[in-house]
Amino acid sequence: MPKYILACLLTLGTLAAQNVFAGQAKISFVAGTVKVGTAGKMNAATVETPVASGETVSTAGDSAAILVLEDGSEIKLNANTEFTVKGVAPNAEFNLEKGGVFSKIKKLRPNESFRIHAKTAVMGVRGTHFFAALSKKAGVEADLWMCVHEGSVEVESLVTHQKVAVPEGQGVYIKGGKDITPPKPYSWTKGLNWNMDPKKGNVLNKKGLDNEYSDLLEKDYD
Amino acid sequence: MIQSLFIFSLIFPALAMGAGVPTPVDLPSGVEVEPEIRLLVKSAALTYFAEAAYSSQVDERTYKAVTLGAYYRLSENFRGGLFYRRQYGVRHDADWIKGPVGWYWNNANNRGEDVLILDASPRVKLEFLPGRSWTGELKNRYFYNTFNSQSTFVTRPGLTYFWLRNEKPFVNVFLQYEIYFPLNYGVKTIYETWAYLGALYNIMPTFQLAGYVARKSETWGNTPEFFKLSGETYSVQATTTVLGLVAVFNLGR
Repeated sequence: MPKYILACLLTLGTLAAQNVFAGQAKISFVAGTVKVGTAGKMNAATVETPVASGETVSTAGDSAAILVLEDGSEIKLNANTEFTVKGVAPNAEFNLEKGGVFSKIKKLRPNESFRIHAKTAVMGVRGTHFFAALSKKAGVEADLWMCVHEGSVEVESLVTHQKVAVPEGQGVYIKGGKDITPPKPYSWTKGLNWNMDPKKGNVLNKKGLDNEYSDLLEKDYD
Repeated sequence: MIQSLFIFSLIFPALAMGAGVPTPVDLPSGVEVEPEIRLLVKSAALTYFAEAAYSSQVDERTYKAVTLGAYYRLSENFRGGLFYRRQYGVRHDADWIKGPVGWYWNNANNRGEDVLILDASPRVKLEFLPGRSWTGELKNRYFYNTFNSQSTFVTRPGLTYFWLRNEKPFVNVFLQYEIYFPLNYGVKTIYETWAYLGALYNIMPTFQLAGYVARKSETWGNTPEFFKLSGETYSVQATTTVLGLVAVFNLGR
């Protein structure tokens, strides 16, 4: 009898522990200054800080964070990034407000989905490892950069509704929120730090897009 | 004999008139070579600017200039600038002077002049053009030359096509037309124009090399002093072809 009680207590404890993060994500890694909260009420985040639907995770310069979802999928935030959790499993939805993220998504079941929205595009995946970042401009003029490390990602422009499937090893670039460039292996994808596991080494991505970013209006020669 | 006298009577007044008007004639045309070196250092919204220019010009003129200053980017589409230029070898209308044996151009090759320059240049993307990577710029400059207090407004509409490789500029092709308006001198509304066609090779983000060919047209007119001495007015034009080579160093962010 005491064995059954112990077994029941263990089971309930496990279920309770699982429920702590049911419908939530949590922070699994922090470097530098990372905050979690809603507009006007952002608090410093540490490892294990839960992130609920509607909350935003932000990183300062020289900072990074990893967000882990219930199914073990991970999202690594670059420095100077703002990333909002709009919904979690089975239909995970996120908003990339600013900066860049690496997403390593577990294979989804047929009834599950994972989408990252930017101002001008939405990226849908079914088990993949990819990087998405916005240029430094704000609003719909921001350029979106995306490349795939493993698997494939479907990118849809919210302006033109053009859809492009981006295979492994290739990337696309959405200029000024308009047309999506043809997928190809872009030079800017080299040097990205894809590591999502702090135990395997440095996870901070130092590769910025500023050097790759060609804003023609900023090109001065005379 | 009568026929010869008739022809002489037609030609002589013309010769006499031509000899009596001391205006600059036979302005040489030809090819001028213009090497330049520029340094642009970006720091947030500021871009510090330095330029050294040299031009071997027709009529044994030699232009040398150093320009220092900075641009401030007020918005994505607009930047303003303030510059100081020290220049040598700039010919003015007043350099047509009378000597012991007649009128001639004063040699200004070693004459130093100080110029203040204000710049206000809007620039836009022209994505509706084929290839989409086009920009249009209207470079406006006000020059104040402290040597003779002359003020000049210069405007230069230009169109640039960026040939991109891996989403970065590889070769830029530009077409520009520059117009000089004298504000407090000159006998014409426009006294100088330049039509440029050039290309800029982006060797690396920090270094570019440009080459251009330009058709330059300069107008020389009488000064009030010339009119007092001769009682005449004139306006003559000289057109030359300019070959330019520019090295651009682009540093900072």
